[in-house]
Amino acid sequence: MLLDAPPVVPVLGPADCHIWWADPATVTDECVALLDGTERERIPQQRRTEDRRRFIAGRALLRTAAAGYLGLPPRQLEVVARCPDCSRNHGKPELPGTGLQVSVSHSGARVAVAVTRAGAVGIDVEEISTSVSPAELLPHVIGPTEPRAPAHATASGFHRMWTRKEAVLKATGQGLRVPLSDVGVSAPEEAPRVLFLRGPSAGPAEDFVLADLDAGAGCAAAVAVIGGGPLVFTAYSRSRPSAAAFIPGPPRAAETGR
Amino acid sequence: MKDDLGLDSLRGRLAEIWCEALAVDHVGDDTDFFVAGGRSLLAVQVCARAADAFGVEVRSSDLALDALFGSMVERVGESLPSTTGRARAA
Repeated sequence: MLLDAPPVVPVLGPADCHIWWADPATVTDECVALLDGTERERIPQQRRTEDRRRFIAGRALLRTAAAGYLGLPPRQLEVVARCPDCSRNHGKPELPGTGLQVSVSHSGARVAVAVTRAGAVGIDVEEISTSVSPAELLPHVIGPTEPRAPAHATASGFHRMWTRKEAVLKATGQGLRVPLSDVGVSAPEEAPRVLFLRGPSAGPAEDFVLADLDAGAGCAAAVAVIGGGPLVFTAYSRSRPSAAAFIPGPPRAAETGR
Repeated sequence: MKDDLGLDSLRGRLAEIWCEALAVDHVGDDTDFFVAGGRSLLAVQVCARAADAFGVEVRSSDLALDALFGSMVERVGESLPSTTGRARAA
C-alpha cells in the first residue's frame, strides 16, 4: 500500500461516493505507523495474523484516503469508533468535524473504504465462500414478506443479497444488532434497491441509495448511502504501489439503483 | 449432577459448532466470537446451526451484543425447556 498522498486527489463532490480498494497482503510497518494509539491497541486483540493485517489495512486506507480529501497528514486525522452497546472501541468509524462519512469492510484479500459527503454510508465486502449454505441461512436472513428469487439459492446470488443488506445496516449504524430480515432488498439479478427497513432504525426505503460494486472474481460487495439523491460511485485502487493507480481513471463499474 | 451433565453436553455441541465456523480446535467460555475471527456471515451461520441443534431461537443480534462463548451457552441453556434450562436460570 502506497502511503504518500495521492498525486492527484480526486474531487469528492456532494453527490459523489468514492470506494478505495487495497490488498491487506501489502500492509507494512509504515501502515501501522499511521494509526493512533487506540487503533494500535486493537491490533493484538485480533487472534489471527490475517485479521490483524485486514484491520491495519482498513484503517491505513481510511486514513490515507480521507486525509487526501482534507489536505491533512493521515496521522493527524481523528478517527473515532464507538460501540453504542459497550465501552469497547469498535463499531463504525467516524471522522468528526470533517463532513466526511466513511465505512470500512474487509474480507479475504480485499479491503474497501467508502467515503462520501452525501450521508451516512455503509460498505460490505464478502469473499464468496463455498462453505456457506444459502439453503441453511436463507430462512434466517430473508423476512417472510420479502420476495424470494431462485438466484437467492446460488452462492453468488446469496452473497449479493447479503452484502446489500449488510451495507444498509452498516449505513444505519445497526450492523448485526438487528436481524438481516429487517432489511428487504431487491432480488439479486435486479437493480439494487432497498424495499423496506424495519426495526429500531426503520425509515423510508426511498432514503437509501444502494449500489453493487465490482470486487473482482469470487467476491461480492455493495455500498449504501442514506439520504442522498442520485449518486456517482467511483472506485480507486491503492493496491498497486504506483502513483498512476491513484489518478482518477475509468472506474470499476458500479451498478446503481434507487 | 444430571443438570450439570446436560449443560456440559450443550456446551460440547455448541463448541463443535463454533469450532467448525471459526476453523479452530478449541473454544473456551472467554472466547470472543469476533476476536477469534468470526464475521457476521459466520455469526448468522452459528446461530442457525445452534437453533437447529437445540430447537430454540438463537438470535445473531444477541451474539453481536455479547460475543463470548460462555454467554451463548447461558443464553441457549436458559431457552431450553429442559431441566438444564431451569437449572441454568435458577
